[in-house]
Amino acid sequence: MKIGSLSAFALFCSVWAATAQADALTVSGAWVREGPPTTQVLAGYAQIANPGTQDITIVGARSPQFDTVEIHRTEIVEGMARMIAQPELVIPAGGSVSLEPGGLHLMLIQAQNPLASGDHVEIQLQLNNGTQLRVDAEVRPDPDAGAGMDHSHHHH
Amino acid sequence: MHNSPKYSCDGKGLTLWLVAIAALIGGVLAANQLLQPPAAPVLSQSTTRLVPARVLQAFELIDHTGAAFNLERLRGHWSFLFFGYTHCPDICPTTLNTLNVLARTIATLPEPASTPQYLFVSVDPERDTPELLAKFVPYFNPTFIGVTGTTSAIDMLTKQLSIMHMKIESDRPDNYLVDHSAALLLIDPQGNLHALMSPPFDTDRMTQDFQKLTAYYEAIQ
Repeated sequence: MKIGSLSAFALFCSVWAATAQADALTVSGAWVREGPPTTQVLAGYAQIANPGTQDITIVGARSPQFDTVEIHRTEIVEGMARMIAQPELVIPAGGSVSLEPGGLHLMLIQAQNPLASGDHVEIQLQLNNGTQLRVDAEVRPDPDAGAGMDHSHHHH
Repeated sequence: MHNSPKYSCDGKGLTLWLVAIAALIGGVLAANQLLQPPAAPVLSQSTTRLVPARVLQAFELIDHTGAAFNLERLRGHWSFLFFGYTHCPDICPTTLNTLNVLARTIATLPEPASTPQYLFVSVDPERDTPELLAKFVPYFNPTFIGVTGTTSAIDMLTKQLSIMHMKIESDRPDNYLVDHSAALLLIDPQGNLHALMSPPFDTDRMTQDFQKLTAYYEAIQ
């Protein structure tokens, strides 16, 4: 039975690997908004898609370049702007979640070194399946701050 | 037979009468037009004009250069006021960037609408020193002015403006959040609260509203 259980284990491993593969999240357009050089907190944004068939939950985030990373959502309720910490973020199967200015964002607290446009931030998203997803986010200025005037038509 | 050429209704006399009456009617209409106050501006849904404008009481704050910032500094020009804090990563930089676009658009308007001042008033005076504001606010636009002060002085101003702010305690004493009113306020050159603009901010619409408000203000002075 030893051989049998070993092969069962191998089968389990290959199935698990296949599942892990299928359940991977894809992150695109990750960026961190450049702030004043002395700023204590920055915000990171990205589109996170889940092409798999199972919901995946982001249960935490961290970055070697920051003391703390939290997931927050900015809400404007009855004229008050507030940020609500999100202990977890579900990326639905076959769906995607957009982290963008004025909504969901990664709050990056206390940079170890000042960051400027062109720098890269490594963000590790911890998933509920025990794996980690590494995201590379480039620091750049807010596109809305550019010379373009067509800037405010993507609110929700 | 009595004949009075003075009041005769022959062709010439009738014409004179008609001309006189027409002139009278025309004059009344013209006077009416001149005396009629200009129509109140029709604004977008996100802009609210206060009627009457709210008169503000004196306050003593400080700007990011360390200079006194009081009611006097709101007089003589239009001012946009936005409330926030430097430890705010998302909505405050987003709004300051929007204000920068707004400022550039407004700068292309004819005088006097083209020269308002833009103020970022801290709702976190505990952490937001003038020095910290000096490194934060002008980053978004070098003409923007950061304003802070003692907690009671900030409250003195925000209460008058119906701006709410609330410190949200957290387990990290240095990194608490502050909920705050998201509106942008407009102060007129008399230093009165004149209008408020609510998010989501559309700078084209805001520019149009600002132009209408300033034109109307000039017309009724």
